[in-house]
Amino acid sequence: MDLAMLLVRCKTGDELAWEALVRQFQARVFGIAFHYAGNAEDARDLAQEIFIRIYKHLDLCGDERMFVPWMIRISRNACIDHLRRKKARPIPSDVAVEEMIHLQAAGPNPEEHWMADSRKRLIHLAFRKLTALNREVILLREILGLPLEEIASMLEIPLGTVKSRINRARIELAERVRALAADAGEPAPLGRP
Amino acid sequence: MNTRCRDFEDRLDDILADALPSEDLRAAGEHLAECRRCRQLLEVATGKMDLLPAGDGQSLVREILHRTSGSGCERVREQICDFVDGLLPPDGAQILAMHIENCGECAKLARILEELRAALPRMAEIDPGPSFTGKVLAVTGQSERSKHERRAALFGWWDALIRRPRFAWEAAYVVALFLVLATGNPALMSMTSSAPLGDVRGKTRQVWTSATEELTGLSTAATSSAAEAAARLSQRVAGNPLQARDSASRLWQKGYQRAADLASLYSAHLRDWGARVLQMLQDSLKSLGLNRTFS
Repeated sequence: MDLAMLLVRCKTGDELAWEALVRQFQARVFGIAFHYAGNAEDARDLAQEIFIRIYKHLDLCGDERMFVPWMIRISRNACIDHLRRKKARPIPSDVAVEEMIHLQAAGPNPEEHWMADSRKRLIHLAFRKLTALNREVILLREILGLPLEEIASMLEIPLGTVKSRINRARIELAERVRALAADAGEPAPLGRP
Repeated sequence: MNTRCRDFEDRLDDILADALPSEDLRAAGEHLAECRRCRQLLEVATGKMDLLPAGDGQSLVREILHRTSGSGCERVREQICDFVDGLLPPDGAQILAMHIENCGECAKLARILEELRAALPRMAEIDPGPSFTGKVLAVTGQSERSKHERRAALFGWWDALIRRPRFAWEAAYVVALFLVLATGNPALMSMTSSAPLGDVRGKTRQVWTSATEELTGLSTAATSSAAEAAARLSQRVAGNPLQARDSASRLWQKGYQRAADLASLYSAHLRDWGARVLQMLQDSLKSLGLNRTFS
C-alpha cells in the first residue's frame, strides 16, 4: 500500500489506515525493540509503547520519505528510555540472555521460530555480546540500513567516526561469531570455504 | 666444484640462449652426465626446479614482512569491510585479495563478513505474532478515547462554571484581587513608620525621591545645554552655511559624547541607589530577626 496515502489518512484520524500502518511496520518495530531489549517479552511491551508514541506524534512526521527514519528515531528513544528505567532493576546478563534464547528455540512463538534458525541464533548471540555502542551502530546501519548521515545525526557523532565505528563493530561481530561457532563445535558456521 | 664445473657455469648463459658451438655443447653434455650439481643448476636456471621446498614460500614472505614492514593483517582489517562491500578501487582490491588468498585468518574473517552482510538485513523484521496488532490497536484506541474524554470533561466543567448565576461576582472578585496584588496593598500604604517595614518604606521613598531629583537635574542640564547649542548653531547657519555644516558635525560629536557620558552616569547612579535600597532592606529584615542577603 502507498505509504504517502496511508500517512495522510492516518493524520486525518482514519482508524483503518492506522491499522494498515501498524500491520505494515509491526515486524520492523518489534525487531528494533527485540534487538534493543534482548528478549521477546520486553520487546512486545516496548513495541506497543513505540506505536503509542507514533500515534500521538504522527502529525510531527514529514512526508513518506521521512517516515522510516522518524519511526526508527522514535523507536530508539523509546528503547533507550526503557533501558534507563530497567537500570533501576536487575539487568539480565549475557549468559541469561543466552540461556533464554536457547529455551526459546524450542517454543512455538513467532520470535522463537525466528530464533530456531541456528545461524540466526548464533549471530544474535554474538550481537548481544557486543558493546552497547557497537551493537547500536550495527543495528542502525547493517540491520536497519539507515544512511550514515542519519546515524551521525542520531548518535551526535561526526560522520567519519560513524564509518570507522561501524567497520570496527562489524569486525568485532565477525570475530565473536567465529569464536561462538568454535565453542559450539561448528567447523564452519558461516564461512563456506 | 672443479674447473669443468666452472667452465659449465661460464657457458650457462650461452647454453640457455642456444648459442654454444656444437663441440662445446657436446662437452657440456658429457659434464652434465657426470655432475649432479650442474644438472640441478641447469634445472633451476630453466625453471624446472623450485629453489624453495613447498610451503617455505609463505614462511619466507612472512619472514621478510616481519623484518621490513610488519604483518599486513592489521592493514587488511582496516580495509576489509570496504573490500567486502566492493568499495575499494580495483588496484587496492587486487592487493588486498592477494593477501587474503594467502592468509588463513584474514580469509576466514572476509568469509564471515560476507555472510553477515547478507544475514544482518534479514534480522530487521521479526514477526511479533497474530495478537500483536489487536493489542496495539486496543492501546492506541484507548489512548485516543482517554484524550477525548479528558477534553470533554474540561469543556463540561467550563460550561457548568460559566452558567452559574454567581459567576460574574466571582470573576469580578478574582480580577479585583489580582489588581490589588499587582498594584500594591492599600493597607500597607496606611501603616505607620514605627513598624520596621514602615521604616523600610519611608527610607525607600527617600532614596527614590533623591534619585528622581538627581536624574531630573541631570536631564534638565542636558536639555538646556542642547538648547543653547542649537541656538548657537542657528545663528551660524544664518551667517555662513558652509561653516554651519562643520559646526553641526562638531556639535553632533559633542552631543553624542555627552549622551554617552550621561548614560554611564545614570547607570552608575542607579547601581548605587539599588545597592542602598538593598542594604536598607537587609538592615530592616535583620532588625526583624531575618538574616537574608540580597545581591
